[in-house]
Formats: sequence, C-alpha cells, structure tokens
Amino acid sequence: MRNRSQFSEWIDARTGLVSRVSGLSGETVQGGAGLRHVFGSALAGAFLIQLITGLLLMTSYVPSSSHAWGSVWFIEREMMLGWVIRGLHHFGSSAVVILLALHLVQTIVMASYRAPREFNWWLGLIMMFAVLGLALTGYLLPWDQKGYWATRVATNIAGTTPVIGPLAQQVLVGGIEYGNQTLTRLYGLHVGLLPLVIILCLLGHWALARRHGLNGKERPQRTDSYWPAQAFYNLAAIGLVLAILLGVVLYEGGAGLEAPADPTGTDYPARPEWYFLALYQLLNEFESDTEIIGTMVIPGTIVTILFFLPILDRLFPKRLVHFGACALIFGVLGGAGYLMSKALLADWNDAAFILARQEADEQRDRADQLAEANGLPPDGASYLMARDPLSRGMDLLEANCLSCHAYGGKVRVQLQVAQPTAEQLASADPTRFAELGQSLSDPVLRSLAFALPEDFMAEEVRRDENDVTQTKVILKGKNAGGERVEAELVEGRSHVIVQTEAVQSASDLEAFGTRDWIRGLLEDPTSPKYFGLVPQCGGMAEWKAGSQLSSEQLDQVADFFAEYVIPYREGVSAASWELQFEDPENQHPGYEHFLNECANCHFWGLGGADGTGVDAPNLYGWGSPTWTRRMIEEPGARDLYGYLADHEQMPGFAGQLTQEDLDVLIRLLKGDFLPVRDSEDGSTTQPAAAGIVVDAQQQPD
Amino acid sequence: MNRRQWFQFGAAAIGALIGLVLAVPGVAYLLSPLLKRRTDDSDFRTLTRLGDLVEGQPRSFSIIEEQRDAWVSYPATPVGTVWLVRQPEDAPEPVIALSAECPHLACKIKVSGDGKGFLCPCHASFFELDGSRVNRISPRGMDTLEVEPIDPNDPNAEIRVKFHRFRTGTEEKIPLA
Ligand code: FES
Repeated sequence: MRNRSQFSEWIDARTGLVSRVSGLSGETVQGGAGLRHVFGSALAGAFLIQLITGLLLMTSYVPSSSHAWGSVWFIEREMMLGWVIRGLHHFGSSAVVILLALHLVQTIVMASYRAPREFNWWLGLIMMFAVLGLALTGYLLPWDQKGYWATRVATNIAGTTPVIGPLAQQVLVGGIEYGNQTLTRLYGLHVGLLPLVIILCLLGHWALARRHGLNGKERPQRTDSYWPAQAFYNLAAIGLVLAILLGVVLYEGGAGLEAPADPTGTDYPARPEWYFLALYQLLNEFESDTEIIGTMVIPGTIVTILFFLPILDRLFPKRLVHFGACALIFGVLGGAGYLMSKALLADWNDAAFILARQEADEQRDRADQLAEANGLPPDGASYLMARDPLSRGMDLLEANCLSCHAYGGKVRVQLQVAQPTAEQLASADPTRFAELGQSLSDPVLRSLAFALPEDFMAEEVRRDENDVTQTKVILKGKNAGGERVEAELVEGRSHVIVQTEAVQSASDLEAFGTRDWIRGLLEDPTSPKYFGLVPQCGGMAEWKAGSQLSSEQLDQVADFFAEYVIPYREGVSAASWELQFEDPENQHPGYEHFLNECANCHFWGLGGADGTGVDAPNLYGWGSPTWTRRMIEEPGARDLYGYLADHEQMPGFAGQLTQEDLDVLIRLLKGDFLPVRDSEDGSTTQPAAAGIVVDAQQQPD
Repeated sequence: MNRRQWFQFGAAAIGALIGLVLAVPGVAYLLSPLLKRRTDDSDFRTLTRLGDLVEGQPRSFSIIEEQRDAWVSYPATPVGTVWLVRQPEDAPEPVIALSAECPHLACKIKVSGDGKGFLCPCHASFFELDGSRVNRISPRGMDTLEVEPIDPNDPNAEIRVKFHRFRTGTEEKIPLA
C-alpha cells in the first residue's frame, strides 16, 4: 500500500507482516466477492467465538467431579453476564455444527473436493471430527445429569467398537467408573488436544484455500479483491451468526444447568444434544444384536466414502461420482432429519419421558435453590441433594414409609404408564368400562381396559373438556386391595397414566417429633393423623376418653415436651434428667400433668413393656433425633412398641439406612429444611423469594 | 461513497460491532469479582470476658466464621486472629483489639520475645503494645478493631469485637469490602 505510516514501515522492515497482510487482502476473488464464499469464514468465525468464550469459561471452571457443577452454577448465577458467555459457548456449538454442514454441502455440490484440492478436503474432514469431538466432550463438563448420562451413553457406544472398544472406553473414561478422571481426560481433549488439531488444520486449510483460490468458475469475468468486498461479506455473515446466537441466548435465558450428576438416580431422561439425536435414534432402530450396524457400520461407511471421495473421483466417471456424492450428502441429511423428528416425536408421545422430564425439572430448580441459599457443601455437588430432606429424604420416605404412613396427608402414589401396542389394543375388551354412563370412544375404552388391572372396580369417570387443545378422560376407582386408582388419558393418544394411591394405615409423619405433633395427638388421638388408623395403639384414645385436662393444660404438656423432652441430650440418663424436676424452683405444670395422666402408662428411661403391665412406649427423649432414629431402626424394641409384638406392623429398618439417610429423614419429619420457593419458574428467581428462603435457613442442623 | 469505500466502512463497522458484542460480556465476566456486591455481615462477636485479660499481657483469639469460597460454603473455621490488650485503669478504653494481620504484607503478628510488644516474623516489623510502629517496615501501625463499649469495672463484661480486614501495604487503613 502506498500511504503507510512510519510505524508500519518500521514493523514491515523487520517482520514483513504488513506487506504480507496487504498482499493477502489484495488477493483477487475469482468470480467476484459475494455470499457464496462466506461459509468457510463464517465457520471459522463461529469457531473463533467458541475459542474466546471457551477461554473465558476456563478462567472459572473446575474439572472435578465434586466441583464442576458448582463452578458452572457459579458462572451461570453469580458471575456478571456469565450466563451470556456460557450461553454463547453452548449454542455456539450448534452454530458450528450447522455451518459445518452447510460448508460441507457446498463443497460437495460445487465438487470442490476434486484435484488439486484433495488435501483441503481431508483437512476439512479431520476438522469435522474434531468439532464433533468437541461437542461430545463439552457436553459432559458441567457434570450435571444431562451431561453425565449422555456421556455414559456416548462412551458406551465407543465401547461397542469391535476389538478395541472396551479398552478405548476404559482409557477415555479413565477407568471403569465415571468420575474425576473422566472429567479431566475429556477436559484435556476439549480445551487442549482438539482445539489444537483444529487450529493447525485450519491454518493449513486456509493456506491451501489461498493457494488454489476460491472455487468461482461460474462467473470468471468478475474479480474483486479480498479486502474490502469479500471481507465485508464474511464479517456480515459472522455478525449474523453472532446476532442469532445472542438472540437465542437471550431468549433461552442461557444454556441451563440440570441438577448435579447423580449416578444412583434411575430415571433421568438422558438425551444427547440435538445434532447427535439422529445418531441416537439410529441406535434405537436396531435390536441389541444388530446394534453395531447403527453405531458403527452405517456412520463408518458414510465417513469412509467421504474420505475416499477425491480418489473415487479419479477412478470413476467424474459426473457419476459427483452425482453419488450429492445424493449421499442429501440422503444423509434427509435421513438425519427423519431420524431426528422421529426421536422428537417419540419423546413427545412418551408419557414416561414427560414425567421423568418433569421430575428432572423439579430437581434442577431445587438444586439451584439450594445452591443459591447455602452454597455447596465442601464435599461436592452430589451432596447438595443427598443432604436435602425434601430431595433425598422425600425419596426415602416414599420408598420406605409412605405405603403405610402419610406425610402431610399424602400417601405413596405410584405412577405407571401403560403404553399399549396396536395388537394389545385390538385384543383389549372394550365392553369392560362401557357401562359408565359416559359415551367413551372405542379406542379410549380399549386403552383403559388394557391399562387397568382385572381387579379394578370403576367408580366414576369424567371427561375434562376445559382445555381446548386436548380432552382428558379420568377414570377413578379402587383395586382389590382397597387402594385408590386413577387412570388418566388424553383422547387421541393411547397411553394411560395410572396412579395408585396406597392406603394409609398409620400416622401422618409430617412434623413428627415437634410440639405441634404432640399437641395434635393430645387433642384427638383418634384422628387418622395420629392413631385413628392403628387400632392396636388405642391406648391414647382410652386415655382421652377419661381425661379431664383442659386445652390449656394440654398446651402445657406440649410445652413441657418441647422444652424438656425433645431437646434430649445424649448420655444423660433418664433418672438424672428427671432429678431436675425435684427442685421446687423448677416445677413445670406440664410435668405435673404428665405425672398425673400419662405416667400411668408411659415411662421415662428404663422400663416399658416388659412384664410390668405397661403397654406404651417409653417417652424419654421422645421426638429427639435419637428417639426417632431408634423408632425407625427398631420399633419392636421392648421400650418402644415391643408390647405389640403379636401384631407388630412396622418393620425395623436397622442396617438398611445409612446415618446420613437417617439424618435427612428425621429432618424431613421435623420440617427442618429449606421450603420450596414459591416462584413456579425456577429459572427466574425473584429476589424476594430468595430472601425468604435465606431466613428460613437459620435453624441449626 | 463508492463501492469500495462502502465495503470498507461496512466491514469496519460490523467488525467493531462483533468485537463489542464479545468484549462487553467478556470484560464484565472477568471483572465480576470487582463488581460483586458483598453484604457486610461482620458483626460484633464475643471473644472473652474482661476479667480474663491481664494488663500488659496480650492474648490472641481466633475469629471463627462460616466461609464462602465462590460456590462452596465451608463450615465455621478460623478466619483470622485478634490480639486483645487490657489497658491501664485510667485509659479511655479498657481493652483494645488489634488485628494480627500485618499491615505490611499480611503475615501473622505474634508477641515479641520479651512480651513487651508485637513482632511480625516475616520482615521483622516491630510494634508497641498499643499497635504503633517501632520500626518503619510496615507502612502503618497494627490495625485496631472496633470493641463494643463495656463497663470497665465489671470483670464479667463480655469483650465483643468486630473483625475486619484491611488492605495491606498502604499508609492509610482501608477496609476491604
Ligand atoms: S508482612 Fe509483616 S513485616 Fe512484612
């Protein structure tokens, strides 16, 4: 260039850089500048965006199985615009994949794989694999449910490769278990090796593209220089990509983060990122013995053909190969589109998936809420949920207790999804529920007949037409065990959701171990909340029938429990504990009433139902974690409900629950947990809700 | 404007816009530690009773606090040390509290060998029992901390101190947010 500044002259004299750049930018674009040539640059631009946002994320991310989730959560929720950076990086991967596909299609359609551009074609293919590798490895890094389970699936697919598969999988995963080594290895690939491969190939790809010139044979008469015309188009394309990305990020509110990875969890509905969905569906298309066709043979063949394309071009008639290549690429894209929509449609129709997804959403919001209120425990994100009474505790309660007990009026509800096949529907008996007084269509009757057990007795049926988009049919009744059963289906779909409610046969455990519970019991022991459903525990009802205690006096008894009994201290014997009430200074009216009314049956400390004629549990320390733990582990102990040995109902759980599980269960009973935040949508937390939440967390563990 | 100039201008404008869209969130992201609000939750906390302190014999106490390190909450652990120095009868305050964090480069200050003052072992800063400098290694004297006023005649009075950190290496005592 003519009018260079002195400074650029100085630089140029020493490096040649300025001349080189202006030489490059002055190069001509055959066929004139235009949008036809932007795909490669847009792809490179998108890759650059990934590089920048990726480096930024690296400054805050920790590749460790205990802290990866926390660090990503911190980026999302606490760092300024961290969600934008991560969102750009997340959706940027989709942009890269889309642009890659466009670039690939264009290259094939324009037959740019032909000599002398073979090496460029091969470099491009290598980069394509590196890009897919980046997408795959990046998915795991947040170590949330989504990434964890998807990566398990992906690495297991790698494991099905003949001969080297299992070894390759073990090397990739860093052992047999998924954990720290998996993360660090995949992280190394994601931020080190794969980007390096891409950058090196990109330099070569670019240099070769310059060497051969852009493929512009159709308008040979026009030429432009690279700068500024083509540069403008390229930048415009990159700008457009970035604008769309930003729009998606803002619209979606960032990339989102699922609950921390839970290897013990069972029904997380793992799905890969959309661009792998076709591969995922391809896998589902085959039975397990032919699965390898879907995982290896088909993708492998396509890739091999692509690699040998420039060579095939030499061996066979050029037009034929070109036609074949075009047919292949459009066939692959069409097939991928078909498989993808099939996978999406299957999920949309799959009630089990929808339910699992709902649960996953709840867990995600809960994890976010817990992290926001208290931060993460030092031992890692997996303990976030494991120490939350509402998450882990509720799971335990449902699994172990709610088939007899209730919690807050709720018993165990089992959800099952019946998804009949066409033959099963055909063989179902449509007359079974025909007499319900509602005109139900034949398919609905057949679905219901298929879904509900033989012993189901229908009671009422309802058609809910309030929703304009769908009509629900709800059929209620009981099964032979007396359990309430409710079947629900949407007209036009065949699957039925069957809900079976256990029959409550024991007390309601909500607030067990608190003053409220004992006060409620003293008020009305025959309520189903207490011993109404347990006839063998009728002693309290007998007492109530004969008791003269006023409501105030009952309050005093409850107060006495709250003040003296529940705050049990380990290692203090009942006798020495009781000594404090001998002191005339320390007379509690509740204690008096207890002695007069309750002590006829209940003891403190030693004693209980061992031949002394006492048939009531020992109440020393009632409601304390220690007492409740014993009650859970050994309800048939002599000082507890041993006197009921003959019709003992509650099994002991000794040895079946870990200490942590017991703790979290007892905290759940006592109501010692962070209440679920009000806002329906967890992704947009109102600060007000968060404030309430923080206050509620003041209780000690 | 001819075609070439138009392209030149357009390319520069779009390039600048792209740079901006990436740079703004990027810079904000990197600067988050500066911009993050931190609630001042430091409060007076009880360390000991007046009667347990002897004039001329400084005693050190740990400040125990729950700590939040980015996303991790650690259970209560010692986060700092405070020296309490009982003052003579006629002094305006019965007790002064000095942070054990050296204002020079944040090493931990101990009582000097003779017990008549304080010493920072890192670069040999000496301080008087009231925290003032003996030599000029540290840019300022030891940082005093706020002590809740008490009745100087009640040996059972609780000594309550508000713990705080200050920037090191400055002459002025600048609290860290
Ligand atoms: S840090 Fe205390 S003297 Fe340098």
